[in-house]
Amino acid sequence: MSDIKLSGLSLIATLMAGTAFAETEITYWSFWNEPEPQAQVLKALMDEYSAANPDVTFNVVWNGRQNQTTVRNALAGGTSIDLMDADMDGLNGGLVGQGAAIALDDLVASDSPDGGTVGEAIYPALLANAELNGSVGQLPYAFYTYQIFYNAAQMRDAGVSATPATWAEYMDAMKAVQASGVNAIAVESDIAFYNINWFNYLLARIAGPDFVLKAAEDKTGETWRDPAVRQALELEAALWADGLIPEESKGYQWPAGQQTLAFGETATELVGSWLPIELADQVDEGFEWGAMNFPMVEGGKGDVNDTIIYAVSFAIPDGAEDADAAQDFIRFALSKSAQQKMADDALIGVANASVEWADVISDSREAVANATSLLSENLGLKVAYADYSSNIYEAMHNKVFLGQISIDEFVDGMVEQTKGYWENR
Amino acid sequence: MTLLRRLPAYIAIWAWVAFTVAAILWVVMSAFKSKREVLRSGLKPPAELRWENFETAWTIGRLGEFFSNSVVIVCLSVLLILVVSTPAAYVLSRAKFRGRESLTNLFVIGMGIPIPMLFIPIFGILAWLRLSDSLTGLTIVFVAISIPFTVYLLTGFFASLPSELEAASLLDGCSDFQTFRYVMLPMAMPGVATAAILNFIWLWNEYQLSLVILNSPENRTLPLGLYSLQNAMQYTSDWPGLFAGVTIVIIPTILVYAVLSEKMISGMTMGAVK
Amino acid sequence: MIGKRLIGLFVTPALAIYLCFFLIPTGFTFYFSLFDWSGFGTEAQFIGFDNYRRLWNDPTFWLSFRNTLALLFVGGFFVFVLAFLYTILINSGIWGKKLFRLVFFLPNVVSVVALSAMWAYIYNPRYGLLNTSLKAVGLDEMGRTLWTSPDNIFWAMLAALVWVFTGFFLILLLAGVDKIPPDMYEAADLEGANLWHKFWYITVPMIWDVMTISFVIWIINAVKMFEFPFAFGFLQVPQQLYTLGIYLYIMGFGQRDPIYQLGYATAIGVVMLVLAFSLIVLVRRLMRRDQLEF
Repeated sequence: MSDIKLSGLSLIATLMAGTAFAETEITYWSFWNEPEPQAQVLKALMDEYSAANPDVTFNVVWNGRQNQTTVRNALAGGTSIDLMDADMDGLNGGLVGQGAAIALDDLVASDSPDGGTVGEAIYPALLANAELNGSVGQLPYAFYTYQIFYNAAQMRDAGVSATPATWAEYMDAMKAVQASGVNAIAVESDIAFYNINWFNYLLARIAGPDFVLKAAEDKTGETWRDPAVRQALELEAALWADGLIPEESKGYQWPAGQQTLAFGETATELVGSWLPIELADQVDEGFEWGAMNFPMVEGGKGDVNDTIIYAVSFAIPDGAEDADAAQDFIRFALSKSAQQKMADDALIGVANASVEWADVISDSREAVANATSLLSENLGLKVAYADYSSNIYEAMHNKVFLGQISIDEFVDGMVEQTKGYWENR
Repeated sequence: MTLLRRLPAYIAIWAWVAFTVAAILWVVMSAFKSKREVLRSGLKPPAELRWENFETAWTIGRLGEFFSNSVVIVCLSVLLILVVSTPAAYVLSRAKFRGRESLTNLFVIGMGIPIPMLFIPIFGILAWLRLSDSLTGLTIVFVAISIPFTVYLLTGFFASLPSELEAASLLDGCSDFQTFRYVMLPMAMPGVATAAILNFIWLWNEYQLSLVILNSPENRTLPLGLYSLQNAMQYTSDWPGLFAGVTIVIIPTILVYAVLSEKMISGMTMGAVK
Repeated sequence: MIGKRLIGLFVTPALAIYLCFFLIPTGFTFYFSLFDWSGFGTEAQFIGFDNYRRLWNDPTFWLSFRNTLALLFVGGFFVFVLAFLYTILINSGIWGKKLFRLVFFLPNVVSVVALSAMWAYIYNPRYGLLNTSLKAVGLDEMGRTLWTSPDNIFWAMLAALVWVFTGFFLILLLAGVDKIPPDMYEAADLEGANLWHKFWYITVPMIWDVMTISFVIWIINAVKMFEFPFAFGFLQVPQQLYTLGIYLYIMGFGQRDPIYQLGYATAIGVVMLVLAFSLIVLVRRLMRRDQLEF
């Protein structure tokens, strides 16, 4: 009698342990703030995933943009995190670059629910950017492109019909816009990482996308004396000299510059593809967005289709307790239906190449589809030498861009600071 | 005559007051505007009162839920800070023992420590004590970081109290504890009130450490909620929503301050100057 | 006489919490200022005082250091001059004292991001409150100033910061002044003292302790100043606004850039601590006085 009772109890215990064991809770620390549309989409995707896999639940922490720092503190403190996301360059310079994330190469090669492999569904150029030292430690799921965004109606009014392909055509177009009575180009004086894209693109077009990294790695600093640098800066300076960027912009604190686009006072801005969404509720009804690639500089070595991007990726920290479950969720989040939902609801560019993007950023998708290669921020400098990238490259450029120092001072300063940087390491 | 003589004083004060009131009003007024209006219409009042901005801020910012967390954690922290710091300050300022000066300096050092340096180690310690992501953990940390300033403030305060009463009380046969409890502490109450209010203001607005220590949404404090709301609003250019959130948070703060400031003033007045 | 047992009993709880949850943990990070450490994983490399040598040769560090000193002294000068001035004015027997006190303090309870957005609106070159007002009163030339251009932005930020902190210290000073017995001023009036004499010979000595505490609070705040200039930079803090606190954060905790040099950041923290501590000690030395009896 008592034996039966005991075995009954132990059976129940086993059953309970069994269910408890099958129950998986994925701890996900997020780069988004809870109220953001991207977070809302991810929330919906997690619910959908849990509905399909009742044994899997999520414990989400919405940390916002400081996520990687917070994750680092938590990992150092012994907390287990199964899934996190951050910007691609940040991850390759941080968690992934420091070897604190697990390799996802098997996930990339695994079968996607849509047929084919997970990796095959992603834009190849985007996946190539995620790779670091021959391995993939993060999987991008959404991204923005840096392009010249414009008010299509104003461009038409100015008689600009064809997309300028070369710098000369671009200057003509901007002058035509200026002549039509609106300012040609908006900038934010205080945001160095916006303004640096002028220099990044010009150098990439003139000297090729490898130039910046090469110049930074030259321990003598002398590569900065290359004529390409001077040419790029002179082209930038002409934008100011010709009045295409109003002098007043030197006093614009973000978002003052982009506001002038919303108010119809300025026609274009070189910025990320988040701009149409950021200004969605501020522009007049019927506002027509367009985006064009940064033009080619005549005689340059670069490719006009190269586009600089800012991507957001998932990564799985080393020591994650439910790494397998997290990988399965990533697989789901990269599936066509999930990515379509993200593109539709958050109006963001997505990694799955078969997904259509929202209308306001359709030009952005076209640029990605045509891109020979997608370039990372500051042409790889941000990942490789983040401190140099921010404290020297961006900071010095912003000074010369806004006319605080001359081109000669910039060149000499870069040579000297690059030398100093390597001596000091 | 006196009015005329005071005119410059009035003008100078009113200029500052007018600017500040206009500034705060601008924040509150912007909370009622549309996204299109907000940065363009300047000091003009909103075309129509858009209460929905407040609704947005309140619901997606979940400010209501976080309000009580903040009240509980800040009040509890301030109470604990005073309970441990007041006796310590008393002893450090009025007892005679070897190493008193060094011990005081040990406390003073803490005032110069930049908070970000605490991020990584505190996470480890709280995790080890199984107190990470808990209001208890945050309270302990709040108390720890506030001790240096509070001890410093109250040490100066006790030092400025007259010693006659203390001596008399001891002569009357009171124990040292009784002297503290019944003679010195009541005299120090204004200083304690000052410390309470200063700590309250600082902790009420603290978000850096909270962000590191608290993860679960249900544990969040008000500044964390506002911080997350601000970020979200900033990235979507919902400035009116941001201002609505800010308005929701500042109105109770202003009310509390208006009531407490009386107490604080009396505290300061009796405290720092004998 | 305070007994040994009471000393122990009274000091121990505060000391224990302070040591366990603040000083020792931070001391632990100081140790990391001797390492090249990203904060990820456990691979830290001991490099002795190399981080400090690097600081010495780092132009961005010196820029942040200069900005912090400018904030500390120039900002401090204006904060206290204005706070004293308004303390005297508000206390000169005018109507509405309590209201003024409240209004002056207001900026301290508003979140810094909202304040930054407001100041960005004030300084906007075209629509800004400042320039439109200047033009309205005929100062066209001045009304075209780009207040937030790279050359001016630090001072623009500092002006906003002075506006916030003046109110805070005004409250402290006013509280001290309130306690001065009115008959002291009456006696001075009878002897024909002017406003300055009364301020210098009565007010200052009587609020000496409040002043000391105010200076100390300012030093702590100024050396560690982070939030306000950080928020003033919105998406990315321009280098012109770097303070030691911001530079520490950028180097160790990454904002937009994956720098993650925790050891180096800690070395900056050590510099901040030494700076704050020596200034506090200096102020306490300079402002020490024999107990005055009145």
